[in-house]
Amino acid sequence: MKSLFEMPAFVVSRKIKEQEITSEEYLSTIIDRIKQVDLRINSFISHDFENALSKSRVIDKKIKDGVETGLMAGLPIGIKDNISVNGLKNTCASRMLAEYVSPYNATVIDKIEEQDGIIIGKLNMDEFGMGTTSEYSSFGPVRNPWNLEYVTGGSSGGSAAAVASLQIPLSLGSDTGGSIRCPSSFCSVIGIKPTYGTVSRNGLISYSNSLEQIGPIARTIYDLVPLLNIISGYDPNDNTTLHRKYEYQTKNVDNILNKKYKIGVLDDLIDNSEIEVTKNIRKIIKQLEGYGCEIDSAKIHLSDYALASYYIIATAEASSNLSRFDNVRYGYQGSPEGYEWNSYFSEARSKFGDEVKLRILLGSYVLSAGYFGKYYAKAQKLRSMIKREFDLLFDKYDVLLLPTMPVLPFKLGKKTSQPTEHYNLDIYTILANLAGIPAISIPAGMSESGLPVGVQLLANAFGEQQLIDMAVLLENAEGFEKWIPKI
Amino acid sequence: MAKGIDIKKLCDLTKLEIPEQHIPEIARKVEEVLLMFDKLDEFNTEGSKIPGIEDLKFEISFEDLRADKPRPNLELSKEPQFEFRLKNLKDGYILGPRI
Repeated sequence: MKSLFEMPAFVVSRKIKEQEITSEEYLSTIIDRIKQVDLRINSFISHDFENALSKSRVIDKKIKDGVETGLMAGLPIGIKDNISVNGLKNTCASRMLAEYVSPYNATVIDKIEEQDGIIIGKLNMDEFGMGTTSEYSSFGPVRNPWNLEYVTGGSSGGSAAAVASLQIPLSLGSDTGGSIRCPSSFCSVIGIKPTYGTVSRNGLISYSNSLEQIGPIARTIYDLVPLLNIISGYDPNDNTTLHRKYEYQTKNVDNILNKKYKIGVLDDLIDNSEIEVTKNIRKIIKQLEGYGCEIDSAKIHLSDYALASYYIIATAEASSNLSRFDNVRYGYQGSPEGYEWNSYFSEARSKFGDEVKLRILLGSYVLSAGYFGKYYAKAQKLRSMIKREFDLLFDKYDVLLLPTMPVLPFKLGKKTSQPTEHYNLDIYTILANLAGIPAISIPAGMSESGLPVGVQLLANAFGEQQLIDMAVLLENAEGFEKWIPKI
Repeated sequence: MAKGIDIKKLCDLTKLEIPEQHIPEIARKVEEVLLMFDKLDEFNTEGSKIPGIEDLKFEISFEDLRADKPRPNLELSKEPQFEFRLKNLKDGYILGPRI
């Protein structure tokens, strides 16, 4: 019989509501699992076990008393450490914020707690979300549950690794250029970056406001969809959010097949990937073809320029956003005695890691008076052209299919000295952020060496339902929710 | 393009302290990334424009957006949840850097 921690959240949720088990029992099992496994994975930065257990008792009492409970009653959720949770440390995996305790909840946290979800801890990440491997964390790298010598992908590496290693059933990450999808692919879980404006960013520590979105990570689409429903929708504290027009649903396969999906396959990008990635993605295309989906070859002509455009915009916004960290409003404990203002700020800001410093410098450079037109203005023009190219593609296709990552997970420490080598890994994921469209990473098999591959699907703005439909088809065909790493 | 002196100027502007011995390494990395950014020079964006406010769709008009709601600060809120840990005190004053 399966242990409780192996069960999908929707199964456990039903058991808790039907009083087959208590939320406290489930949470105790989860806490034991975290204590047992996370020493090797390093996915958590901080825990909130005591508070989580006391909340679970409150929920158990509500259920026992017949009081109505929320959709997430008794379910533990891990939160990326750049999303504010009242009373918990919010470090962004940086020494700069090592002592910072958030005085308020992000809107997504309020929404989860309204549905009786339980925040169990904060998850490791690349510092301020800047990285593709989760190695740039001041709290040490996150290790891939499928092979502990390999990277998890990033920047939401802790969020994906904790779910993949059965420590928690659900987590939240944030995606600026693939930070949910990359680790989801490398850890073999499902992660979705919703359309820009679907989920409130209030309480998310900003790295690049015009690109980033909060999104859920889960082992099965049936767990992911309820959490997406809960966190999405209008928020008066984030004026870029929109009222959701419909609830996302996990339909049955026959209903989905009636729609006759047209899928544009980005062949160039598939063939430019590592051979084992290509092989697995081709297998997925065959499966979708077998389901009766119409498959056609498609191309994004501007993809070669997207990387430069993305990194110009992201670093420019980062240099502006991170200027607030001066150790006056936010920072760590340190005596200012004997310092002059400017040298105090510079000394305080030296707590940023090397990658963060590099991006701040680049952002300031591209925004400087002489170079604004050459870099930033041109990058923004290209961004709007990429969006138009996607609009044309979505006139023809319901969804576009490509690999999530061009490579398999690689060994820790392998790709850290050359920044552009690192940045090139984001080439398939940044497209959705530049265009503001939704994108999902779904497990697509394993390499011969036992490392996960992920397939990425893109839909037009607010087309999350199409992505969910595709995930249901693939989950039914592959049964990937049963793939579990041996730890 | 990204010589040591430019990096020092950038560090000054961004209030970042980078040790002298790390400047060549940072300069190399900045130069490498700027070369990647120069890829945009190959592309002609003439005739295309950055979307302006007239291109944006608003669900709620500006007039109907929520007005700023000042939140009570920690001192004034009825139930302060935090204990202030003022470590840098001297003679009853909070220490700050010199102006």
